[in-house]
Amino acid sequence: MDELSAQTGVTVGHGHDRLRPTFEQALADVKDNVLRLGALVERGVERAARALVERDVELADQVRWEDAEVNELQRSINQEITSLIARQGPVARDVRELLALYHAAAELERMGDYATSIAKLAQQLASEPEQPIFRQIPEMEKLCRSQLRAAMRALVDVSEQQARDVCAGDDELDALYKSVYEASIALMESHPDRARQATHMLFAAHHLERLGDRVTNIGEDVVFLVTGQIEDLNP
Amino acid sequence: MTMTDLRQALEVRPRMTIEAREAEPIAVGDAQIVFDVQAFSAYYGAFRALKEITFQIREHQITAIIGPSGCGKSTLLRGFNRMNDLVQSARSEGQVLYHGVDLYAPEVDPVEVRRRIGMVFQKPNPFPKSIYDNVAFGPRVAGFKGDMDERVEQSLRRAALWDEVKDKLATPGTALSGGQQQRLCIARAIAVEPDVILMDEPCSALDPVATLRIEELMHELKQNYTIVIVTHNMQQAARASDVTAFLTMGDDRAGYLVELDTTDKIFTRPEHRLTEDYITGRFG
Amino acid sequence: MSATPSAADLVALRLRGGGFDWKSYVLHGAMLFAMLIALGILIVLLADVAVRALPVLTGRPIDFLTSDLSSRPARAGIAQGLVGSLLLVLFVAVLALPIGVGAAVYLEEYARDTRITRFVRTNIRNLAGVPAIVYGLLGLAVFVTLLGLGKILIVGGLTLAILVLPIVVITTSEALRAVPGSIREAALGVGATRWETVRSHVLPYAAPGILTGTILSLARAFGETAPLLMVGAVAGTFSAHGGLIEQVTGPYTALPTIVFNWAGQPQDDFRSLTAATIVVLVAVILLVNGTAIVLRNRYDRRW
Repeated sequence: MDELSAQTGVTVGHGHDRLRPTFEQALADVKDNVLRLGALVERGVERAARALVERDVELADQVRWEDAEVNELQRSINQEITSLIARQGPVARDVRELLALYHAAAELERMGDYATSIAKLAQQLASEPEQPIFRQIPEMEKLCRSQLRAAMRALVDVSEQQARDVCAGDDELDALYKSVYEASIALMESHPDRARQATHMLFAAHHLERLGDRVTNIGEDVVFLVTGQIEDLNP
Repeated sequence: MTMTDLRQALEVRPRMTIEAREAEPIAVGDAQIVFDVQAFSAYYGAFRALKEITFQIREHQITAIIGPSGCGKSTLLRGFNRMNDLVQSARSEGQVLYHGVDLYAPEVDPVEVRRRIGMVFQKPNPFPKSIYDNVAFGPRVAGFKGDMDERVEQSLRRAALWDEVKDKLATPGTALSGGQQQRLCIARAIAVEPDVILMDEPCSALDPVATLRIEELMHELKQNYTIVIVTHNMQQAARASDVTAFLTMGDDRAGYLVELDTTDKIFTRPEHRLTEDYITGRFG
Repeated sequence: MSATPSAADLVALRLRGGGFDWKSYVLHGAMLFAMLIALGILIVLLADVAVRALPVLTGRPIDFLTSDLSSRPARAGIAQGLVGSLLLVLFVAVLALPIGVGAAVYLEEYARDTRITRFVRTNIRNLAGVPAIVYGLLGLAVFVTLLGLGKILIVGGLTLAILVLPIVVITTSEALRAVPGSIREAALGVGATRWETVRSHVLPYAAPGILTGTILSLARAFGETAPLLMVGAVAGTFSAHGGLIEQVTGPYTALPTIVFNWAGQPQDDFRSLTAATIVVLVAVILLVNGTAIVLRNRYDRRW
């Protein structure tokens, strides 16, 4: 039972004949696919960051290849949602849920693109002389992934509170990015010959920060699903 | 610019084009009250069909009454123009105030009530007379002494039927198509210049094209009249109405009002779980 | 070819001929035969009468239709009967139709459904089944004796009117009930009173049915014999001429009573006179019924 049902009392279908099992099944399938998309993206982020730290060019290649799967899944989610809206005439909670899932899938696809960009940066760094990776970057990556997992859980539980918590957690990511920025500037000033590596690392951190922003957008989608209002939870 | 900013920016633009196209919509709370229903209960003999309905209907809006079969929607609608009187065992409690006058007060003449509060029925029922006589009947019995031709033409124009029948006003009304017959019934109802038009599932016997034409017509009509429509077609209520009232049946099989709000609110974020279950089709 | 027939083969077999359906032909034939018997009886009767009537109808048709009653067959005619029957039917029309239609309109459109109205409806139905001679007794007791009006045409008219009244009420009620309720609702919904609804919509819609019903009841009145005899229509001869007032306040007769009278006469010549009168009677009734049907069809087409 999701939190929205818990708040308002009677669950969907409880005590009554299930009148739209086909539609409910289709809705559940779409949700499953969005969760799968989230899992794919999480894996991509983890591998891209690992490729960066371990200078693993082949792992980076794998991440870039697997982005095609992410795009394909998002396309199929889009198609399914369009069809449901056109044919099933969803209203109220149903239409809000479909719109939230549609938007979340789009955000996840962009996050997949960031992971790919980080993988490209990993390959470029690997071709440069070795330079230790700022410690903040793996920290950012871990934080990103836990945020993503929390956002997915908020989506499954349809929990407004969990969604708000995720959005609040983005501040830490922003702080980490700031410190990477400072570290990059410091490195460029102290060792001008390592400017390239510094820039690559700065970009990687930037992608991770943007990734975190997109996770908060998913949180806003969940809040919209629950309240019907669109709020800016990441100013 | 974050995704959120962009989204909000996109939201602003479509709203502006809508405002340029239509007249300013009247907020639910501002317009004058036409019907003030106070604890209205309706009985057929010992059976209570409606339990203590309380709500208001405001002018120049389309109010839709939705709910499962048998919950008393038609009984409520017919309560507004005393058509329930035609059933011998019908009686009521509570008040229905029309511009402040209790329609069920003993000194109120039901015939006068029905001149001000017209009705269009589920199955089109034109008289087996000419189109002209169909429209002219109401004004005639109301004692209209002015230019009948003009009244008939104006009514047919307002019902979006004039162009189709202006050359054959003497032909029988029953020879028209279903959608045309229903527009003729609308013309007949507005010929007596009522204040309110009640519609009891007006499109349920019509094909989809005729249905959409009548919905467009309702939109024009609400500038001059107040419209209350009972419908079991939820998409129609969602498309065509400004305010929606959701009635359902309790365990005692009496109908009661669950929720009334702007149609927008009801269909995007209703307050009551029962309302959401009904409109999402999770219970019929 | 496969040993067992396929589903398609079985269907084809069934469709092309499961055998000759002789049962339905036999039934068809039996009913046709029944109809021929009924028709045959009627034709035989009519032919017998027509043949018997031939001498009078071919010999002295005009004279027959314009002469008064007489004890001499060669001079006897049905003029007085024609006048009497016409006046009686007129009487019935003027009395029974307005009262009957009015009563039916009240019962169907205005009366609430109470025990009393249901009681009234049932009794009207019973009255329609009462044998005509009972109405004759009623007429005799009330109009002739109690009110002392005597054996005049007015009394005959009153008696027949009462006899026909329940039929008019019933057929009008049926015609009113056949008007769809949606018409009434539509008229009332536009702010018409009950009377305006009835007058402008219900009655015009029901008019063909009412018309047919009333014409048929007039035809019935035209053919009644027993009640007229009870209230004193002349069965022998009489002389009654003069204006309308004298006609209705004096002795009278009608075609059916003439038939009754002449059928009982011993002379042979009266046989053909009787037959001729029957021919006239039947011809008039067929004409009236035919008119009713034509009128009803004409009205039906208008809607």
